[in-house]
Amino acid sequence: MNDDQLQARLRAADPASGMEPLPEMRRAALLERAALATAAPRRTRLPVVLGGLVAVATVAGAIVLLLPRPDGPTGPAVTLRAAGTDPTVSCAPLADFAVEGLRGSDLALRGRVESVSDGTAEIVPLEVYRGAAVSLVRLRTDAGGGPALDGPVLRDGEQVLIAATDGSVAACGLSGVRSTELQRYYDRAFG
Amino acid sequence: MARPAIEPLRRFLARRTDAVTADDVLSEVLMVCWRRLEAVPEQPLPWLYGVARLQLRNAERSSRRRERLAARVAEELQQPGPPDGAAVRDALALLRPQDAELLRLWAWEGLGPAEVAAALGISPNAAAIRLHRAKRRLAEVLRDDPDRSTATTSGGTAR
Repeated sequence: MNDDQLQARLRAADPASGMEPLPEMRRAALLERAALATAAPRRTRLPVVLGGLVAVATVAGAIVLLLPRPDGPTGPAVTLRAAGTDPTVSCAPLADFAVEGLRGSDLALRGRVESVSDGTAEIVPLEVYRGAAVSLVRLRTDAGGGPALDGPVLRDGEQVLIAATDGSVAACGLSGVRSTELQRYYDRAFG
Repeated sequence: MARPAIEPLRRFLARRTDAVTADDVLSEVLMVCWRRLEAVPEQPLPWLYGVARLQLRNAERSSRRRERLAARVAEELQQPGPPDGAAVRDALALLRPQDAELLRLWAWEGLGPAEVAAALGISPNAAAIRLHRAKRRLAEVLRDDPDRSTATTSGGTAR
């Protein structure tokens, strides 16, 4: 039996020979899930302004949804998982999956940056698209890493859009300073 | 880059494990791919097969393996394999696992020796030598057993 004959016998015994290709929807969902699951650790590209200066910060601690405060929106206290950083990974491919990715989030909101100080940005929710009401989102940052959200800067009074899944912020274009494009993704995902 | 790899990876996994584990491992492989984009070589498939092998090994260590195997057996009892499939797969099972895997990569994944080497993390030279020996051993097994050599066995299992 030569190589060709042997290969033909093996191929005839291939248990995957009759497999149908995965429908495009499922293929896209697989890629999206993989992208979302790894979105949080990715390097974000733009610095955060801390104390009026452009500083670089990373989500090394956690996003903490604080207890309800008497003068603001109310909601349960939830602590989200910390996200690490991976400076080697590009965020670019996520754009294709933005809307579907956002729909997979369990928390999504538009908020306003109330303060940025000591490596922490406090964000007051203005509109919750998905998930339970929350009173405040705190982005705790450490010096020396990338910014907590995609976007040019985080400044007091600026609006941001944030999505999170299983306690991790969806970065890589899914969370960031509010822009027409990003808002459009959120509107399409949750509108 | 990941999109074209999905179907080959699905087939790779379907050849080696049950459907539930295959789905889980495929997700894991894609996540590894995302996390390590910078490490993915220009020809990604052999590298991805290598990742899939490791992930599969991890998955099969898990406590769920037993349950899935039971499901797989039940599934396979209902689904006849291709003609001659059982005989050749039986013959593969008689080889050393490393040899059988080389032959699967060669015949089912369609890899050449250099790609097999990349998937297994061995040198191309070693892959070529081992592949040659594995082919010879499989041919001997098929030749030695009249039932297997007739290539007419029907039914059988998917893996």
